[in-house]
Amino acid sequence: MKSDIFDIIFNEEQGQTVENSDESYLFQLVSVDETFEHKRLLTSMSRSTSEDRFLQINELKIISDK
Amino acid sequence: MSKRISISSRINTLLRIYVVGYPLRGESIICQIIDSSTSDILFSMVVDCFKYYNQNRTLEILKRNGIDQKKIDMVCWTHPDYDHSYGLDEIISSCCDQNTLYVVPKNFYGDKHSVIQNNKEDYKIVQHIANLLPREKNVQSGYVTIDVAAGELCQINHFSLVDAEGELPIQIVAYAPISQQINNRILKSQKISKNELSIFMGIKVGEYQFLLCGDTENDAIDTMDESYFRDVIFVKIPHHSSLTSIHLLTLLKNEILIACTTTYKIKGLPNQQVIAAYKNKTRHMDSTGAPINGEKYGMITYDFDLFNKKEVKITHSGHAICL
Repeated sequence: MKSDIFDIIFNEEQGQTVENSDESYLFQLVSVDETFEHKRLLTSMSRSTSEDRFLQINELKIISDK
Repeated sequence: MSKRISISSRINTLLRIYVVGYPLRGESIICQIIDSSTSDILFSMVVDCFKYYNQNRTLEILKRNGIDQKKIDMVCWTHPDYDHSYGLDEIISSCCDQNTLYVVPKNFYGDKHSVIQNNKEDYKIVQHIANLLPREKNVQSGYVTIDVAAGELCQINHFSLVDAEGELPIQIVAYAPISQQINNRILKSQKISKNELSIFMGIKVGEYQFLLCGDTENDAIDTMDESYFRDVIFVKIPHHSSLTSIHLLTLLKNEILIACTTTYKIKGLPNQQVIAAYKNKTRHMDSTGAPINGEKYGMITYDFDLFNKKEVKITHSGHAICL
């Protein structure tokens, strides 16, 4: 899950490359501002497939009053 | 260590987004995470504000939802334009406390390079609101200023909802304003337009991301990395659906579930070409609309039930319409 990687990154140190357990994301953390807990990512690479995404959005129903 | 909020079960968790617009201009958004089993508001955030003929719809909703019991956790002032600012002082005065986190763009407030193009119309209200903001920088309370390196993101806030299944992370990140663009202007002693300062925000709830794009325009959007946007299901379209912000569509490679726009009538926004382009990429579109029968606002309420029924309930009020 993409959100997991942000938690992982938040606990990592500057300069580390981080990969989550199912290898779906790879990030490199490049700068950390400890005062503001403000962390920046230089590179990101999502390996999730468009098929996964298609399933994710299609399982949501819309119920509108108009 | 991020804040952890205990919940009965994530299947009772709703993300509610109110998008409020007004007949001529003006935009405000409220986001709330709600435990539907108790109606408790677990987290609440206001993004910008406006009022029309003294009707501050944002304030009305917050009061109706019991703001006296629980104050707002976060206020994001995307940029100091009049149509995103008027009435925000009432929100700060009535709905915030010492625990509220204020998020404003860097170079707007508290920074030595204050080189924003102000105009007569909004100068007073902007200064008034700026004077109400806390002076101490602190991520737990007080305020944080936002700028982002091109192609990157920065984390504004994060916390977890915890139930028997484990932690459900909630991440609030920013993709703009772009620090290099603003710094270049400062180096050249040029004025910064207020839209260049606009905060462009992503809210990540589990596998889903919601974009609240402020008035960010193409120059900033062109620097963003499309890989950050593969999980987007909701977009508040930037800058009232103007051609100067249409490049976001090139970053959104997948179908979007819902897009929503607000109005800026004097500028002819939303632009119909932009609306048509979004309609090709979204399953459902709404607008806060234009005046009908003397209505003073248009509001769309989205209830995202992502973990139980996997559905979104959409309610229109005032002059809001489905496109």
